[in-house]
Amino acid sequence: MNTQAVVPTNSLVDIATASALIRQGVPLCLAGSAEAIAQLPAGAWIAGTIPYFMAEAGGVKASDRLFVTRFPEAEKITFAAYEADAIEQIVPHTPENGFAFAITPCGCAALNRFALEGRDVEGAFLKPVVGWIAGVDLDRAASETPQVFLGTDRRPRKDGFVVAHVTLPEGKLATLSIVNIFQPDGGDTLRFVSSGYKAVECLVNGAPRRLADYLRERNNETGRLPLVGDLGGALINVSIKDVDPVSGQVTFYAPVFADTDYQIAKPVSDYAAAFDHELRASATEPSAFACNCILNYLHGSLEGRSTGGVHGPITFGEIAYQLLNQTLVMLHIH
Amino acid sequence: MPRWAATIARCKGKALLVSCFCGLKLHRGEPMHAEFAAFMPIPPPTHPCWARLAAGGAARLQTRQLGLQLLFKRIADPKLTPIDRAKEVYAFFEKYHSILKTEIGQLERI
Repeated sequence: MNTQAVVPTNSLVDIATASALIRQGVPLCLAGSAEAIAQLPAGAWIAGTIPYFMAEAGGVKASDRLFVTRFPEAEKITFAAYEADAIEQIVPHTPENGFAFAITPCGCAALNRFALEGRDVEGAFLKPVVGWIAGVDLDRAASETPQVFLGTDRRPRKDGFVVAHVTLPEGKLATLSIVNIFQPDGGDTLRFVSSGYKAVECLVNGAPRRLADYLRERNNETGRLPLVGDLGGALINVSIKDVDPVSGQVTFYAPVFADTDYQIAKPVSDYAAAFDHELRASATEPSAFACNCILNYLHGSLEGRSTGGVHGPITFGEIAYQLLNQTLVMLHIH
Repeated sequence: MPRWAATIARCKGKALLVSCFCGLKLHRGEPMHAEFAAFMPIPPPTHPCWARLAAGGAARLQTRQLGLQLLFKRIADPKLTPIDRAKEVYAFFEKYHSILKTEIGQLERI
């Protein structure tokens, strides 16, 4: 049986189908529960834990299936794991004409380093890094830990990156795009005195403020609306993880950068409709891979609802050159 | 030879060829002749458009390419030298010229 011919490039499949592909030597990038991944045979693959997916039937949670992504356009794919102190090697190890597909566990040291320093690695914009952040079933968050796996040893890793280095044939190019349903609200401009995942103070229109007080004043102390930064014209979200009303410390899912202006996002009334609209407006090319944020899935009640025909894992963070939040990321091969 | 240096060499060769056919005299810093531009995917690394982009012109260039937008943010870092900024932007345009037609069309106006 020629499974490559019958299995779509991006698809939610059962464990037996994924295992069969691996045994045939098809290089795969996988997303699924730790239990499902543990049943896979050794081979040419990487995987990360997540049980939420954008499937053909819409948003779905499934612990007994795996989302498989393969890259039929690739000339060559090699797999590697990087510890937190070696993540600056990901881009140099990526082929000149290709890209790196990366998965890392949420909250680990490697991700923290990547989020703060990844955009400064030489060549980071010539050899794109795309990927996602592994998470857990939210109903079992207290007992589960996000993990990633390299197919050659199948060992669960709670820190570091697993990476597929993909070489494209001459004449093919990889680019990344995002769909962000959030727009800045056009109001106050926020600046931070230092880059990082936490902040107590910020400058609001140049005046020092306690960020927690400001968020409460704006009715955003639950963090439902992200901060939106303008990075060279790209609107990049930073989602709010936690606001401590006593200490005033605000924790983010991605770092804020001191060199960037932020605004609170405009409210979005219908996430699914907003995705459909934005996808039609901005996603004009077919994607070789896509992932979307768990916060969009939750806040947008996307379970059972389709997001513009785009399929992929629903993740605890997205990577498109750098760590992103509440964003749909797409890889395009031209 | 680095990729950008190889491109300079290729561009110089093409410039000579075009000069012969069109009677052009190309000098550093001069705007490109349209016929010359047609031979080249992007202006050569010595063209002043790269220095202009590196010196703040990037803010005036309209693009929807995420990589280029984030690169523009990166080169705003004051720790980078103007030459390094220009080299990074040139390298991006060199690699992705086939999908940057709209952006390349703006380079002369930046």
